[in-house]
Amino acid sequence: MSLLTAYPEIAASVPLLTEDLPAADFSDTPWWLSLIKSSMLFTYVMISVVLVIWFERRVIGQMQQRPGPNRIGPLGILQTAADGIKLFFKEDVTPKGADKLMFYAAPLIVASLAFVSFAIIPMGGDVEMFGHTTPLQLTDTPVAVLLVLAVAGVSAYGFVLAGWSSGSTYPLLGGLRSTAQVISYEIAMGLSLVAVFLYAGSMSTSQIVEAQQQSTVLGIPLWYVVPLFFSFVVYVITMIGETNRLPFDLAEGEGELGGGFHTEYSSMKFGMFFLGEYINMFTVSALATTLFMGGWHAPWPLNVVFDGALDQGWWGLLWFTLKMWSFIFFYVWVRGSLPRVRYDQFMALGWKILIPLSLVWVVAVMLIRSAQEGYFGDGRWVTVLTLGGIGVFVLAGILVWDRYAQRRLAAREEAREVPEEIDPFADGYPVPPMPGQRLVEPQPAVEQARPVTVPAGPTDGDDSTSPNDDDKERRG
Amino acid sequence: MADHTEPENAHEPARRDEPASPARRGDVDPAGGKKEPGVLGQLFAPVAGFGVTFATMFRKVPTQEYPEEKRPTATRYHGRHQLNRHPDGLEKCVGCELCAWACPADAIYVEGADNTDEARFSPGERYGRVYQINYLRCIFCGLCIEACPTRALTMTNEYELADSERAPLIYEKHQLLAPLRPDMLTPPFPMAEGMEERDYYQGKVTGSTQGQQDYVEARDAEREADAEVGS
Amino acid sequence: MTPDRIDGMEVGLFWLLAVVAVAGALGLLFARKAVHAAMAMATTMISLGVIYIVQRAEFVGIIQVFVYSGAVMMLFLFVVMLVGVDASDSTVETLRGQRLWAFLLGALFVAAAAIGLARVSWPDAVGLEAVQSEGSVTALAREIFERQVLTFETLGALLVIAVMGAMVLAHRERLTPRRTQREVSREKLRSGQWLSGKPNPGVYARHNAADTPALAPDGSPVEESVPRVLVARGQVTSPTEYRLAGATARPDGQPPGDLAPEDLPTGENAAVDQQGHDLDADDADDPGDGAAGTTSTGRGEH
Repeated sequence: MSLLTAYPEIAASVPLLTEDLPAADFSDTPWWLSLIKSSMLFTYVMISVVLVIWFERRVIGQMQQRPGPNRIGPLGILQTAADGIKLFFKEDVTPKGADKLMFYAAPLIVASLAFVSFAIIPMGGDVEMFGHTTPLQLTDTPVAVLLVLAVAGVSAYGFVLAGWSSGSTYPLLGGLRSTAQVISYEIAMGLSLVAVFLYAGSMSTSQIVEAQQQSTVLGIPLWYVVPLFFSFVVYVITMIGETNRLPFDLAEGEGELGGGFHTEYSSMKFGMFFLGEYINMFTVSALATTLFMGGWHAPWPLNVVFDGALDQGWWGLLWFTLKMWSFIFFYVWVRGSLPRVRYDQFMALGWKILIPLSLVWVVAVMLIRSAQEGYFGDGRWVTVLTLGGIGVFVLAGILVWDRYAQRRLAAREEAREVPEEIDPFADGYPVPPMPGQRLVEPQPAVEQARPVTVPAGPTDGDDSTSPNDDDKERRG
Repeated sequence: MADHTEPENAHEPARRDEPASPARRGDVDPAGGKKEPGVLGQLFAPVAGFGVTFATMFRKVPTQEYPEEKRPTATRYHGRHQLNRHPDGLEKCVGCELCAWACPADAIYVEGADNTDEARFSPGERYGRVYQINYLRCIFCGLCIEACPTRALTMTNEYELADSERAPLIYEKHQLLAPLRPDMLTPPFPMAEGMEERDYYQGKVTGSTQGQQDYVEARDAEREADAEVGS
Repeated sequence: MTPDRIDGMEVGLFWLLAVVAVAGALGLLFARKAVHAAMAMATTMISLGVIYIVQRAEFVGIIQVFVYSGAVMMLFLFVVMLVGVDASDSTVETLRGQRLWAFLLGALFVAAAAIGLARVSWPDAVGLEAVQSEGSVTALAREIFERQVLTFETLGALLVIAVMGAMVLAHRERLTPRRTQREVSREKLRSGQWLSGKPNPGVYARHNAADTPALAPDGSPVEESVPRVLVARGQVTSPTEYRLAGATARPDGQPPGDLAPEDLPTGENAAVDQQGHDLDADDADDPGDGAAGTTSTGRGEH
């Protein structure tokens, strides 16, 4: 007995979101075409990884006013190949205390799972391939985005196993740190995605892309980065945290942990971790593009020129690549600008700031969507009133937080001030005065001096004068 | 000297008496001192660093691409040493070993020998028979140049001396001698007629004389004949 | 779109995943190391999740992978790795008759379950299309938030209570105020212990070797300049020949003699004999002249 069956008039008046099935049509895709598409996808990802290593090193170099690799190949483009060949020829060392099975399994887990998430990313519209019409997407399910989160959760196994199976302290610490980092920020990432699901009404990636294109304001498709700006910010922060990149790369902080979980790995196994990290970067960037930036659709005026010819089929791949690489550029930009955070600061950010704020934001989005869908009644003013109510709450929260922050700042300023006059021997050892400070003078010694007595005539032994008397003579 | 110290002393007491003003510390002074940034400045303060990195991307890169671009060295650059010659070809080095004594790194090894009438390498009594500079020890300080009394030892601008073995980096005399100019002759040959060592030092010899050239030709012909007979 | 019969692909996947799942379960039972057992269990869970996905229950399958393998098994793995279960745990029972009772109760449970399952009457199959007409997620949402909302809310409340209970149990009330860094540093300063880093071996050394103690300005050897291991083994050499010229510890102004054996850093059999002669001193520490090293003195005719 549910509310809606008991009161059928509610069910009739309220439009329910029932479009959670994928928008992409896979009916004309035989199994061999899926195989071809998967190998094309694999090639695309591998080429992207090879390019990103070069791209990152060049861009970071330019940001630090130096050239970056420019020796091997024109503009240094073959540097990645050289590094790969070097890695391949390195000696493959397995530590004596390592757990052989897990030591071998960990990089395999990381590297192979990294590719899986690309299966559900839509990279273009429907295209004609070998006589069949198929979308440029490997597969899609009603819960596609959750697949990415699930795969991220399982690939965290790779990190913790790598750290533990190395059989030494720094990798273990690094591995545990890395895994704790990943699972903490998974939660915040999931919460930021909830708002997207509320707006799109589905968890299928192709459906989300279509929903972004359908919701237009003055004819311009409103990508979710605009109405869900806060979710976008939280997602960007968590995506950097998930992929272990600066400023959140504590797991492999060279200054603190040697190499973190991949200290004991060399040659191709290290290459697998390296590969896995870069592919993870691409995965979360691709997900950000799909969920917040309109996926493979062209940006605004280009999707209406030429009757939408630039917004179809293979063109989608171009727009998707451009958007994904702009996220990669942002990754590199952040790496060049921010220092590494401390571990407790990082955990506090994830648990104490991102998750509560995301929860509050999800409630707010829920209210807005309910108002838009008509749960609070019909009429134009419902949405505006709901927004107004939420705005009042937000303002009140900001005011309260501001007053609290001001008070803390004032307390800190007060604690920093030095008193005018201090007793220098208060702590047991003498301290010099700060600039502008006065010292409490110790009791003048003269008052305590005994009167000087000069012995009249020869006394027994001139050595009877104590040092104290000499000092007092000098002072007095 | 009194003029120099007076103004300095005039500054000193002023600096000590002046109380340490908070404005100089820079952090505890809301009223004077630094200006507070505006609203936009405060809003974007945490991400100001991003602007800096982005702007740096478009600045010129000052890296010098070494093997392709080589910056010319300064005029008096301390490079590889060179044993100079007089304008007629005789070596200036007299084997006095002052450079070896002056070297702080013990990099020079000299053995002098007498000039005879048959074999004269330098004007004067002696010449440097063995002259080695160990570039593994040389610190390129130039003290040897300062010590040389005849300006035989100078430094060139050549700095590309790297090698992958140690033995070749001990340069012998023939590697350090200045190259022969077209009007110079190869020692040994006698001094210019009528000239003494002092005349050579004072620069009165400006080229090889006919007598010296004849001597060298005869000497070379004899050596060739000897070599033919010997082989 | 959705076939009502099981097609070939599903059968093939089932056979593959079933083998993997059973192998994982066997691994969990028979693995030697605890971490291997935990990973085998994770494998079983993941294959179960994939089986759910293959059978069109995508949400449940993903959640099985996400929550079970990604969170619960990760927790198990953390505990196993950090606390470290040893394979050499004793197999001697602590409870008497535990194994017997375990078998009995297990058999009873299996019997009860089998009887219960045998009496279940399955309704006629309606077909997936009818149930998931609005999509699988929406159908699940209807179950959770409409038809069985009370059950789920109660379960949610139970979980929240469990989390709070865990927090309360793990919480330790702080009885004394927390020492700030300032107080810690003050205490360290007052206690008189050595605060700064000691100079590395070699800072005041007079010789390259690590077993030769450095000499303090008054000529006495500094004990901290030699590694403790060498002191304990008695492999400290005498630094007498490296003593500073003119350094004297004798009040009568005599030139300092050899260090007595008892003046060296203590080790039972220090490498010094009774006269203070170094037993293994064989120094030829004149830096050799290189080929172009020294100036030639007295060589050749000058």
